[in-house]
Amino acid sequence: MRTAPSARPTPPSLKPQLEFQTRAGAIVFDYRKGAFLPECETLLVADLHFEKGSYLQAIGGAPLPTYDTPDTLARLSSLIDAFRPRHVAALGDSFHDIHAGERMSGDDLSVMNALVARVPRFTWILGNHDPDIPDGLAGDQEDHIDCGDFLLTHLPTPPFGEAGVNVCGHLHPKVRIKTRGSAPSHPCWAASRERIIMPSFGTFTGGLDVRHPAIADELPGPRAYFATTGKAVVALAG
Amino acid sequence: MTANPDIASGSVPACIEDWFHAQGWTLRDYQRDMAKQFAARRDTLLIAPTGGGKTLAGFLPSLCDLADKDPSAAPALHTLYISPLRALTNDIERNLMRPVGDLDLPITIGVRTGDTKPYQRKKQQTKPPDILLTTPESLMLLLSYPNAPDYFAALQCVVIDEMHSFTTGKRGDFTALALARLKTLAPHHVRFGLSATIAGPDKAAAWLGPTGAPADLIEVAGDTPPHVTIIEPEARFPLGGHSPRFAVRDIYNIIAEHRTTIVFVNTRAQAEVLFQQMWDVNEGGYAIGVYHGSLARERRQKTEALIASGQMRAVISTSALEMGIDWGDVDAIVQVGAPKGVSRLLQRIGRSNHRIDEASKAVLVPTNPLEVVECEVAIQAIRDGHRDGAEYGPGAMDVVVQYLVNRACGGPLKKREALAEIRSAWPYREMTKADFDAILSFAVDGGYALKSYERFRRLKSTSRGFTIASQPQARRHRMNIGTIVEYAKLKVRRIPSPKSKRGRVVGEIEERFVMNLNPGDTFAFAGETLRYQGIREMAVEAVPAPRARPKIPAYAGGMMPLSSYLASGVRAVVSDPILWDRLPVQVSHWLTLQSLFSDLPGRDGLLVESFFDRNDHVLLVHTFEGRKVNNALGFLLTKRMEALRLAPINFTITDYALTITSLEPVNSLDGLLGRDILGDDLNNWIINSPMIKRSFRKIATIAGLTEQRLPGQQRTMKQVTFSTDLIYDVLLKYEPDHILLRIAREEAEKDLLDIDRLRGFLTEVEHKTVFRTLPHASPLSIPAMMQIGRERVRGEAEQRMIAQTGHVQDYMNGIGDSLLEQVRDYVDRRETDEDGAVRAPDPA
Repeated sequence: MRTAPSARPTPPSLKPQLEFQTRAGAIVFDYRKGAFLPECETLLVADLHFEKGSYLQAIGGAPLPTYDTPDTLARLSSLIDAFRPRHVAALGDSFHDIHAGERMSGDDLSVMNALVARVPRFTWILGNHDPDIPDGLAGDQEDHIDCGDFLLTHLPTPPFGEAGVNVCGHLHPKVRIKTRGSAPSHPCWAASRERIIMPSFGTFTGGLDVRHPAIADELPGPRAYFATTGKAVVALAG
Repeated sequence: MTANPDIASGSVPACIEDWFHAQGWTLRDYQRDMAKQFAARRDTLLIAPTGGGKTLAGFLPSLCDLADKDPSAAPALHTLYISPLRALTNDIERNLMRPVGDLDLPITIGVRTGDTKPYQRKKQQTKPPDILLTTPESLMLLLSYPNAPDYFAALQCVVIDEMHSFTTGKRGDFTALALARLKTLAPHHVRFGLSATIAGPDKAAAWLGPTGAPADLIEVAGDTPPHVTIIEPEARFPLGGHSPRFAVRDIYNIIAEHRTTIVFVNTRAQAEVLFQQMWDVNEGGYAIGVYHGSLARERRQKTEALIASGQMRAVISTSALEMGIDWGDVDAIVQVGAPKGVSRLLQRIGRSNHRIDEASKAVLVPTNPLEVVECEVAIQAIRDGHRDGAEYGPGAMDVVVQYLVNRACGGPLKKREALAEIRSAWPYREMTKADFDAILSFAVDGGYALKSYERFRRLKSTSRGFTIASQPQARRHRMNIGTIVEYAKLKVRRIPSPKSKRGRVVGEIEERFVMNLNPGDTFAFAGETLRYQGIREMAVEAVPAPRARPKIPAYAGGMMPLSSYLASGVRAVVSDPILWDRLPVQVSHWLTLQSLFSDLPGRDGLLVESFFDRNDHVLLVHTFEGRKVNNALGFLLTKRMEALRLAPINFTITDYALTITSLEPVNSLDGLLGRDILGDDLNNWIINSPMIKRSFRKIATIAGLTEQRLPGQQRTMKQVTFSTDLIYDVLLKYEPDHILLRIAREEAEKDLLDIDRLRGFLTEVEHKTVFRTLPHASPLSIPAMMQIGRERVRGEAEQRMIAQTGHVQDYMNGIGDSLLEQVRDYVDRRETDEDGAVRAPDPA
């Protein structure tokens, strides 16, 4: 819609965090791709894909740098500092493949364990096809977590009851925001009434466009997208 | 070894001389000289105008030497011919077969390119032909095999054709390294380079010769300069854009008046568009074809054969047809769009009428007033005998990675001899040991400060030197040889009807374009309109849809930079009304309007205009200084504007001007433009810009960090790669001195920006800048405004515009169904240019 030159609307200011009311309660989206459930004081991240870099080295033969694991850990650490949660949940695909643990460096393992020790509870959520959590890594392992009416899983799963909302990972949603200047895509949360799909957190993870059936089919009814622009979270109707 | 007494003394055997006479040709002096050079084992650069028998001169010594070959001798490679284009090698083969066939010479000829079938490759390995015609990439591949030393041991001669067209880029660096390797394997062979006329031929001779000893130079003067005119169209020239639609009928009339016409355009999309438009007016039913690099091989070869046999009345083509030897009846060349360079224009004109004593003929079709001026200046430059200079810089280092891995595939590689061999290639003569070590380190295992727990290796160290670490690594390398990096492509399969299972592959199309198609959409391809059905087995399936109005596939392609000579020539004309009488009336009117409405750019000064256009404020900086200067200025100015809260959105460059759009108006140039702008931290701005990430993507592909996806290739887990932007970001954060980042920075500064020239320019115009605030766009600004291809600015404007796209209220009350119009747009709308070409969104 074209506006006349003089009638330029004042844009709402951009926020680094956005709180969103779902039928299960409040959820806070942080521009650093983590989410927070204030009622259970739980910090959520999804699809960390540790050791993806070394996997592509080993299997793909590509001389990639393997800074992804320490970088993902550093960013997770910042989020923990910011929110000081009682509980951290990693919603699946935390490790890229079964042998990730063997390739991981001893330093990274120590850092990971120290991170886990900083919070009262740390849960690695596993999906059906998720590689195992490596030996020697602290934290508990579950296939889902209930936080009030929120159902936290890796794969999209139907929530229970009229007020249930499933928060899951696995699909790495991203959305194109077309402005007059360009149309870059941004990682985002993709939400419907009963489900919120998390953006992928891992440093070397790419994304899938929200219009793809794999995502669109999991979000029946009205949708909203919450895009991270690198500085802020912006809400869009979908 | 040569047994022929004639060639040993440098003269041409009688049988070959007779054959020449039989064709109605005279053997020229310089062609005889080439035979003498071969006998004396002197590397030679032959510079001759197109159509002068240059290529034949390159082959003559080999034909002479092989004429007396002992037919019972074991097959061995005698001559290697390297050309930049596959089409050219086919051409050459056809033409070489004539004397060989006519004279019944015992010479075998083979072609080895990406198009060569596996069984032919196998045969060439076991029974090498006497003469092998190949491309730089195929040569590198041959050098990667362990049998390379034996295969090339008997090499007597290497001929590099159309040398001028690739020696100054990465492909030239790549070729230089391959040649250096050949020299080691066959120290006694002779190098012949064949080149069109260029400025500064000594640099080219230095490139060709072994380091420290430039090749000998033979220059053949052209006789008649070509006859070049600008079209006089029935309709008016458009004021901006690049569409030749206004002149379609005029071009058709030219085709009707000649035997065979080649119509050159600058992009593949333009070729498809113009072809469609031409058929709309083709009342005479002439055989008109289309030709470009994304068409299937069979299609291309068929078109080439039809042209050679005179059955094609006209071909609309990209630069893919630019080079070649004698082609029968081409008697007119049409160049659509600005030529960008004098030498390039002459190259294309040379495709017609290669009788060296008759003038070639060409008509230029500029598509906007500035292009008219550019054409005028180019015509004058041709009359003055001007040639474009070539800029030879140090060799690119990402290419060295490929060379090292290539060597290691064939056998153990020792550091010292590798460095010596690299330095024997002229672009790399000054490569430092430190750089070599860094590049080798990268080739071995990525060279990262952070080592993986399980050490990854591409090359492994043995007692005899470095070898390739595994066969899968060797395979991966061989599949990705080359320096041409393109976006992922998909094959296009043309099926007769929607339910058909069988169809013909007609070419390839970029994946980005396909992602924006919906089933039922139509697009132009290979001269037809096709309706997109879907993707099956990694190919796009489409049925013919003759009556639909098609979208035009866009291909990413580099824009040819304008030579500074032409740029300053254009400015000289534009700034001086006295010179306007050379121009078509419409163009001089346009310039008059400009002088009345705004101002003319000064001969030495700078004109800057500011106005509101549609949705945004526009700043138009008319520098006439070329793309690189405008690019650098674009970064610096938008950085300043950002700091001054003017919220710049994006900028676009042409060779003549810089266009910046912003949310806030620019009311004065104070604090914006001045020499002190160069003190700003340009480097910091560049390393975070989308531009350097695009460079990095190419470098990463050439250095083997990621793989090119070949059309139709299944995406397996192994090949899943992600945006190189993610790798770039991580390297910048954790290892900013990594060799690949260094290469990207240097490339950005050297190839995309020209800081020194900008500095000189800003000094010159310091007190000679005219700033005009206008109610709307000026005549001079329209060509710049209609240029597509924007450099996004990451800043406040982007954040503000994103925020403007809307926010959700009372979502969970079900009111989330009320959608904001602006947001709905982004799913459906596409950017199109004036020809309906669909532009894929910028893959930033």
